[in-house]
Amino acid sequence: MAFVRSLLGAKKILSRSTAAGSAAPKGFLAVYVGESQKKRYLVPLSYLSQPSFQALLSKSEEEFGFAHPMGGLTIPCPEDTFINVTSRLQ
Amino acid sequence: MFSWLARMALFCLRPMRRYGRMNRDDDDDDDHDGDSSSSGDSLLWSRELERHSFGDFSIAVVQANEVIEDHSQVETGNGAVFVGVYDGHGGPEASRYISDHLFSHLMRVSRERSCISEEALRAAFSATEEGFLTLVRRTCGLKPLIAAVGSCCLVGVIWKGTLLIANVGDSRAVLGSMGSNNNRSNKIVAEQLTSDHNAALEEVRQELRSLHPDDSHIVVLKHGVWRIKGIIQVSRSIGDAYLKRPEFSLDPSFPRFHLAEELQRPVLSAEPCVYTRVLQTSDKFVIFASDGLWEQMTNQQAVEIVNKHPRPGIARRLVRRAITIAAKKREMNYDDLKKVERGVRRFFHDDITVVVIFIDNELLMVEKATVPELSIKGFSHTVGPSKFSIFLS
Repeated sequence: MAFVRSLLGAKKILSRSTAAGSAAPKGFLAVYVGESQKKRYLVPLSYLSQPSFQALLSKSEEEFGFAHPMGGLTIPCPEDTFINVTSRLQ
Repeated sequence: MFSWLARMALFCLRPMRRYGRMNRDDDDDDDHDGDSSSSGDSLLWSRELERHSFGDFSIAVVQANEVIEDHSQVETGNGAVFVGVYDGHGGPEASRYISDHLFSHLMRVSRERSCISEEALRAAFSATEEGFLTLVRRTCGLKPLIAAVGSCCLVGVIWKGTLLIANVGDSRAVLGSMGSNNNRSNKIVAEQLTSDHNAALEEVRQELRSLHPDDSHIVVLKHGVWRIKGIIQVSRSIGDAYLKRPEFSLDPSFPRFHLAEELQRPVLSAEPCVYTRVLQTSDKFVIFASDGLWEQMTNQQAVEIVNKHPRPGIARRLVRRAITIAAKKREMNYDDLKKVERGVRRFFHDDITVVVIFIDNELLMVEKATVPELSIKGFSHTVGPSKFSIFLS
């Protein structure tokens, strides 16, 4: 998994580099990904306008409504799916 | 010479700036609430400060949903003011319908009785609910999901020194008053005048369980949120026909709104809780707001913000404060959040409507204050004449 992430490059997806709860750097947003254990990822704000990323968010809305237990946006899909979707985004 | 001209110009501009300002958020802000943004939020609409018979008011709305579901209005009559906050769900149709019809119903009923009373408010709610259910019946053949559209409805009227409030749903009216009788301090105190009809409250769940003793699934805890029939959080509303009458039930092709068993009796009610208060000299203002505000701050925090800052733009300040808090929860700052477009914005906060009605005591007993009789609708740039003038002439 570390290999995949390094391939994606630090600009696209930063893994758990900052502590949960603190603000993401300007231009980025934090998302919590995973089914039971949630991992914090930082993604560029531009992802929010991508239909495939919006689809991930809508799926989480179907399950949780708009209440996100971690505070930050929660995407309850398997990590691989998340990486798969985001790796296609520019 | 120049300074004389400048002063003249300033003098002419001042009243306009004070009362005439309406903007899409163009950010002039002196906000010291931790928001240092440099450009405006295109989804934030406000009117900075307007007059009603007994003081000023300020209104602001931010859109989060793809199609805005919060509707609202302020009607300034001669010797009366009306406020409505309608927080829709499942679509904008119910809240829009209320905004188009409730006030006329209230005026009609009040003319018949020659007064605005608790009964008049109940009758206006009931007529609005009936009207909307008729619309649902007429259109559900073509558009079945209209049966799953509903709205909270919070209404306030000040008339003859009395404040009347009627409410279904989880919007709130919160009064800010100075100290209490046995506490002569200068502290502003929040008093919530409405109760939230939301299954998050234990008493609401108790009431539902006692009304539906045979239904073990009347309230369900799902991912930490209590929902009625596992679907909806509010226990009273206008609309939501599918939870009120079996004729409007939705089939399994709408899994989100499908009920396993046929409705035995209505699950939601449109019966408002009504409240009357003879206004006192210590009563300074009332904040009417949809739950989008209250999920970000407490009643006391809100009244302290209103008390601490100048009146112009106070509703917008509350909305911006709420968005700043929402951004922080999502580990972002407002500068980034305000670039997020409507629709996606809903993942960060709800539509938020705030109306602050200031009460200037010396104006309360004046029978005929001359104010412009206006009908102001939230998020709309057009202002019409209010039908209040018909009632009171």
